[in-house]
Amino acid sequence: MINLKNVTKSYEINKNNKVTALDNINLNIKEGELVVLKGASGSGKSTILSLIAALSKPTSGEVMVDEKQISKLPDNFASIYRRDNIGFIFQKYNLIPTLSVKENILLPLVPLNPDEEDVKEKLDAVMQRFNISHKEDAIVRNLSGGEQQRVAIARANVNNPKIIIADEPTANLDEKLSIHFVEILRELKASNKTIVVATHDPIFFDLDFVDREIKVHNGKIL
Amino acid sequence: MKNKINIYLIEYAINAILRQKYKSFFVTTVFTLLTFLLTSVFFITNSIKHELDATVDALPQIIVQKIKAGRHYDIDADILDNLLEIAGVSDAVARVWGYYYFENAGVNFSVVGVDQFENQYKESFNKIVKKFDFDKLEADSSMVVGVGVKQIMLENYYTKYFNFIKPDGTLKKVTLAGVFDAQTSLESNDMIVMPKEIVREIFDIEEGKVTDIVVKVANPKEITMIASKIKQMYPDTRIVTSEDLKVSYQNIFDYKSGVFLALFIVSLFTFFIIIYDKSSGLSSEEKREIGILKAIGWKIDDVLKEKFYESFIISFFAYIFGVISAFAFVYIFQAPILRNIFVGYSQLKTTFELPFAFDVQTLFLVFFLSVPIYIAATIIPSWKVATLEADEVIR
Amino acid sequence: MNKKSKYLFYTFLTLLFLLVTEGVYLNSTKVISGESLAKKVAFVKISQLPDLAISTEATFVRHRSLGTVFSIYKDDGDLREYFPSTYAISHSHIINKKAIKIDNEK
Repeated sequence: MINLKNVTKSYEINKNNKVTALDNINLNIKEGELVVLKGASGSGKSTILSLIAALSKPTSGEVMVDEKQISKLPDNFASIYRRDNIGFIFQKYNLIPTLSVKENILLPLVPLNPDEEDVKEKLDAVMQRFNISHKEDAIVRNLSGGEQQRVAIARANVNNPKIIIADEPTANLDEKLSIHFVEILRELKASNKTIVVATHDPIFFDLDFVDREIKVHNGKIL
Repeated sequence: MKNKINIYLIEYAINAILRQKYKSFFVTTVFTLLTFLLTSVFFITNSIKHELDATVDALPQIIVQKIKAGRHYDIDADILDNLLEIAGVSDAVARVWGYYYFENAGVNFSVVGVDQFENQYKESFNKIVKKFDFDKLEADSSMVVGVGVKQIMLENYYTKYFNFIKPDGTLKKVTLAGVFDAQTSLESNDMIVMPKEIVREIFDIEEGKVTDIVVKVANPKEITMIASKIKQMYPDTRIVTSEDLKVSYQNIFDYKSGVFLALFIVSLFTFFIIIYDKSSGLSSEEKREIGILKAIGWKIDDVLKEKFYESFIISFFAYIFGVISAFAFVYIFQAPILRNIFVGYSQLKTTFELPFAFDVQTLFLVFFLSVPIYIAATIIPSWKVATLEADEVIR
Repeated sequence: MNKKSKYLFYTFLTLLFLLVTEGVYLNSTKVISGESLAKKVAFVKISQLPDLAISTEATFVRHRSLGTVFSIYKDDGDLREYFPSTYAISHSHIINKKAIKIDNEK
């Protein structure tokens, strides 16, 4: 389903300084797989996630999702692709702190201008699933870390995407909440979503429902 | 996706405005004040022009003045006969009028002399002067004055008559025969109308001279031609036609200079400070927000639409509120403070009501000077950020 | 429609309604009435002098349509300042008017 072919990603810091985040990598992820990308900070795992989500373009190589080349998509089509296929759980959640839980979860749906009933249905479903219904009108900045995380996960799922991407999801959580997240992940895997997690948290290693663990080091896949 | 208007986007825009409560409030307030000030000034000038236009057709068709070295001089009364001989001229009347400076009060009165035996005056006088005895005007040395003049006289203890000081130092007593209706105050407030002879006496204008000559023409289409004929006959004169007066009324306010220039420059300056602040780029927080929205599936168009709603709500609200306030300020409260720019430091104050004159052009002008520019200033920096790679912006 | 959108919509509606009401009210009460207009015209027919008595200090402002260059550049110390009205009301642009078609046939 997800195919990275000879992908290189470099960043130009200034005229004479170039940083290579990914160096000619190849990666294949099947539909329904849960893949964990292991590696230290700066190893390039977050960059792989960005490329799969079409948040950035590779310097060279191809990124294919469902036989479609997403690495060459114009900006608006990349946005549509993300909207319809990707649920991204950011490291820092990237919620709008002054909006309510409901308003934050609603955000991916806003550009679609859906019917009111449709919206209500989707929101209720996703808030119930991730156990955040009781806080639907609460302002996000007043929530605990765990609650904010559930909001972020709910937002990532509201559009029922095929691919879930999580970037260091437990970086800001304590052990209890981290375990809780792992359970949510198990649940998502059970609903046949393709999941890619980038992390250096050992809690994700050697889990029974993880299909593959891929080690990323210095921009290369080992 | 039935409706064209995306309510959710509008909601998001409102939330974005409320997120920066103080900044939004400040910008809205400044905009409202600017709109209010500009619109008020335009309303006042429009009203004055409207008042002028209401009476422009009653003005003389041709006025003949003698100008020497850029200065106005009395003209010979003899030329009247020559003017009457010009083909097309139906009437020529010599006028005697001038400004009388009343030193005690420090005011100027406009003194106009009228002929005694004109019936046309009788009808008009009775219309606009209460309890008036026209014959008295002729019989005694009497005058009819504007409300403002009457007031000044009262303040200086003159109730039934007034003593004019002639150029030779002697006094000329003139009785008060009536006061012009208050509804004509914008035209008559500082005016005194009296028989010509008395005016001559007060200003010491010799018998053979008059202040200027008013010429009436049978066919209005011939005014220009007759005017040039008169100019040919008397090259030292300035001929002012009714057309000229109309043009003069149009140009009463030169928006490129004076108080208006100062006002516009200050407004522009304030306006551009706000625009500069907006366009000098978004804060890192705002940039991140756009990055997040793009990351969760918003297109550039969606981001720009939202920014449009945001800026439109603020600027349009400020515009409407400014206009409503201006309407009330100028026409209901009669523009206190602001009207002093036009009234000046005159001691003889005219209590006039600014008439309501609805001018769509003004409203459109102020709208297009404010709303679209603010919207553009908001959208352009957002567009710059929205076209970057989302990944770059979030990190 | 959500709560906030509703508030916004009703606020704008109220403002627009206020604007229209104000306009209608002013149009019916503050416009120059027919009677008033007749009186003004009657007066101008008597005086035959142009311009309004808004600012009565400066002679060139008072009857500006008949003003001369000299009256603008007056130096008389007796006269008090009449700014700002002379900065708001500009001098008549027919001040330096010569003849209409002075280059006549010779």
